[in-house]
Amino acid sequence: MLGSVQIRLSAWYFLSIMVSYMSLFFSTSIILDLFFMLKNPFSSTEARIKKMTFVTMIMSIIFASVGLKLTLIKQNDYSRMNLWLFIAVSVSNILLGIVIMIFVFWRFRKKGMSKTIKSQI
Amino acid sequence: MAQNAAWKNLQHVQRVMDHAMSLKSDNSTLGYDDYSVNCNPGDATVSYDDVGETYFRIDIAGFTISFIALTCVGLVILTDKKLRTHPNELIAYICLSDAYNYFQILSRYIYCGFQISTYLDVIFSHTFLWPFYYVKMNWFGVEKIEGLTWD
Repeated sequence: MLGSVQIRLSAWYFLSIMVSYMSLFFSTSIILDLFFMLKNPFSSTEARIKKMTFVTMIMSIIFASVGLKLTLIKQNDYSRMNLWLFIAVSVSNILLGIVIMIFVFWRFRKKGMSKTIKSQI
Repeated sequence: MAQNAAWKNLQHVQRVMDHAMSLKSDNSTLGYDDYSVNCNPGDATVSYDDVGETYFRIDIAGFTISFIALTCVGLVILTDKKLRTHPNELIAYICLSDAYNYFQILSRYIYCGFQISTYLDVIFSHTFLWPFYYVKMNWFGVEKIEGLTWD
């Protein structure tokens, strides 16, 4: 394949899977954001969201780069590994989200939680 | 929904990329066959049953609605100061990411099945998605037209 064609295809592929990973990580970042908000209710919301967005972008770029590298090896096994990597990241995200949500609900259901927050305010 | 769209998009781009990487290398010619990229090499469909053109059109309608709706929601949140409150900004980013994913899946259908207009062909030929043109196949009962050539 010509170099220019490969570069074009690789760029398209990288962009596409980066956005796919972004979609996954942003979903988890909402739950993480809720967790950090409960941990420190008086921290800056904007700073927290900027931090989340930055981390999501970096993670997406790293995973998309790994995916592209695996695909460019030109072996089916490595390409399949890329799909399994995506599945692993998806499952990890879902599990992490569930664990954090359980923790958040547990904190809300804890006796005296609302009083503690009120007294802090 | 986000996970589903992302997964479908990844499968789609992986299929195209795998196929493109398996093409023969030949720097001396720019022939149609050597550089054709099949949008759907595995004959996998987004509809679970390959039942023809009706479902093809229904899929296109569904992806178009999802793409437009998600784009609108994302842009409205990001452009309205009142809506852009915590944690709506993150939700807007998710909407835009998913909109892009649906656009990718939609593009696979449009490029493989329909020619919209000559002007759009020229515009698309200057984008990342250019390799999609070189597809020669019958799909869902819709005969694929031949796109632009590499020359």
